[in-house]
Amino acid sequence: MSSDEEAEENKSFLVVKTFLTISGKLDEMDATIYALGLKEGIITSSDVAVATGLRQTTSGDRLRRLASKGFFEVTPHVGEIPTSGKGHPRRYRVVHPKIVLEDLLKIKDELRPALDIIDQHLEVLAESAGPEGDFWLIQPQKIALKKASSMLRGAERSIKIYSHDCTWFWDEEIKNALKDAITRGVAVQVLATNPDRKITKGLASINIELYILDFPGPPFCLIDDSLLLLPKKEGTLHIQYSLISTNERYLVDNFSEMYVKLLSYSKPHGGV
Amino acid sequence: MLEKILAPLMLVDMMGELQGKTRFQKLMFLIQTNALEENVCRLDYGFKLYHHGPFSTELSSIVDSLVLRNYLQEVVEATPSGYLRHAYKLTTDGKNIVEEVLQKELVPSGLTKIIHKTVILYGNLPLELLVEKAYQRFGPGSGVLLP
Repeated sequence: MSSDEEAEENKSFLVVKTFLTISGKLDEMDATIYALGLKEGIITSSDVAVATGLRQTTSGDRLRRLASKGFFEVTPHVGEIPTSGKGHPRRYRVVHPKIVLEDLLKIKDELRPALDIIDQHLEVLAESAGPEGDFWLIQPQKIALKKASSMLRGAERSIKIYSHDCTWFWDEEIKNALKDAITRGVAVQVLATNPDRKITKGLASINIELYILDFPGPPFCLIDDSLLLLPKKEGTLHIQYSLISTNERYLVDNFSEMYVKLLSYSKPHGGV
Repeated sequence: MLEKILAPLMLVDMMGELQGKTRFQKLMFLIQTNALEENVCRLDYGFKLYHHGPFSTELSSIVDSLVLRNYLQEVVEATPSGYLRHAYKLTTDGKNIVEEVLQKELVPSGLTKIIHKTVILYGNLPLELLVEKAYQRFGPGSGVLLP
């Protein structure tokens, strides 16, 4: 097998593994063990221990559990059937994913048309004015960034961002949403305290107006002066950002006024 | 049938930007109905009636594949109410195709007129009214069968 073919095959094992974890069918380690089974065909608990670093007893427990869920066939214990003699480790033969995942694959086929109908339903709701004054916490970071970029894409007149190092700019979806907003004629302005050179260049490359000031307040973003986004830092060991969004009039107006004040204390980037 | 693939592109071209999958579906349904009534062509997307009006999974797949083949650009944007909506624009490749279609008259001129008329009459109708309009037109004579 060529290295390309081997890479392609390994990718297929990885796809099945990812599918199993994302769908919640198996945890990360069990999915890794099943992928190992797919690669080798027949495995033992010591193979799993070597490949994963788990203890052999833990590997055996996991394999037994996977076998009971239908992911592996297993050689019986001594006494169950007179085939696996004493001293022979139990061996696990992988079951084809099409058999194990039959229910998931079936529902996956039905999912796409169902999502289309749900899209339609949510778009009808989207046309409604929506409640005013609510606060929404959007988490985790991955979803918060996706939602933030969709809100930026919905901007009609202006986007005003007050930030510090502007590292959000490295998120492709946010960057593209801002780029798209500028193409649509939306005024995009960024107030920042300490953006690095790469970021200032990046902002300039998509024609974002950048102003520099020296006031380390809480960052925020205003869309069309009617929607306020506030990042919220979470986690201790691993820092993640979630997002608070609100259209509460009083708060939005206050932040709009604050933005104007901050802008008056700032200087255009590169200016004197 | 070529018209089935080209008509959605022509619709987006005439709209400039088409906001919402639902709007896309309802406008295409009205185009299909009018094209049938005026004996221009049979688009036959296989619309079925749902709670929010006629919907065709075939049309939805065609739109997805037009996005995949880079003839249409699909962006997801949030509306002021916080829900998401899909918006469609023609890409440069999509614009070139539409231009060629119109130049070489690859679709019946009657269909082009119907798409144009539908955009003028219903393109920017509030979604609720558009859904209602499509609902009313569903049934015998619309090219679809009631379930």
